Amino acid sequence: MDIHYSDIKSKVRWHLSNIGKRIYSKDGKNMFSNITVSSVEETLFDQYIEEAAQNVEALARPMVTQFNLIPKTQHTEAMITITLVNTRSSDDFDTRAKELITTYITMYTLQEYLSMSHPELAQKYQKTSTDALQSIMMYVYHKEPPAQASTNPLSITTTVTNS
Amino acid sequence: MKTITLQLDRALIVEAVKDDTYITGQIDKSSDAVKNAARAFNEQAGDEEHHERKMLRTLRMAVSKFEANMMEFVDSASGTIDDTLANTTAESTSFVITINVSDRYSSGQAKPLSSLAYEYIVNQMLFTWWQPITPALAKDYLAFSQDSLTHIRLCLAKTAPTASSADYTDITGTVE
Repeated sequence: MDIHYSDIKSKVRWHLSNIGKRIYSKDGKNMFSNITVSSVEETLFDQYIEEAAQNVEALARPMVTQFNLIPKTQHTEAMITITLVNTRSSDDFDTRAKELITTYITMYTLQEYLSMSHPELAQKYQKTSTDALQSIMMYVYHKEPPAQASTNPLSITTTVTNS
Repeated sequence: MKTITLQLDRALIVEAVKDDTYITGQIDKSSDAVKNAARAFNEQAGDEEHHERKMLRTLRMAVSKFEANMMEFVDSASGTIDDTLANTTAESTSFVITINVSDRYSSGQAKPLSSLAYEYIVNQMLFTWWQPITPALAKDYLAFSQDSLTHIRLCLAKTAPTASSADYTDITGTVE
């Protein structure tokens, strides 16, 4: 699966914008401009995204067959590529795993960013990112029930012949 | 001499091992899904290649143990035990164990014998699977397999000797 840094950053910006609209300082000043980030500051996010991606890789290590952090080039966006192989997964494994991993990386990035200036706000995202990581753990380390053999267990046979 | 032919299926045996370990793994997860997620994943047998290879190895061992236990019933003159396990393929997983026994073994016990042999092999494999993970559980499966073996022996009880065509009153003596 491919996860683009730009998708994570877009989600992080959306969260920060919503937080900023609702937070006021003691003197009644809206904190929007204080919490939201400039495009220059956004480069900070790359480091957080990569840390979070590496956490996922470490957590799911037995199932990771391929993991790369691909930097931005003139023609391509920066992205995480990760391949997870679960031999008894459900059909929607890749889709669901990607959703969970994206959520975790987003929450981790928010937690790290907010912890620099608003540690009280960061706490909520720290808990959410921990929960998201646990969800990844429960999801990727899950096996579906085994496939049924084509033979019926009640059809085992024995014959006795005189020789 | 009689020949007992047990028809078994490798896929069915492996599925039974997977079913049992799957259920135990799910029960382990029910106590703490996060903490036990990786443990349950690893203790649930299959379908990773190294799990499948271990199960095939333990299947071979369990079948060999079964055959070794059957040696005491083999016809002493020309009896043999053989199996076709090595000839199974992904497409055709069935195999047979043939045991040549004395004419005095009852043919009527053939059906329970096959079910018990299947249970013995499955429980031996589960014993081997759990031994390094949960030795206490492994002991239970060892006890199950020994119970199957006890009943297999009962199935192979000898019938009464065949009556001779001659009668005791036919015994004669002559003095010349």
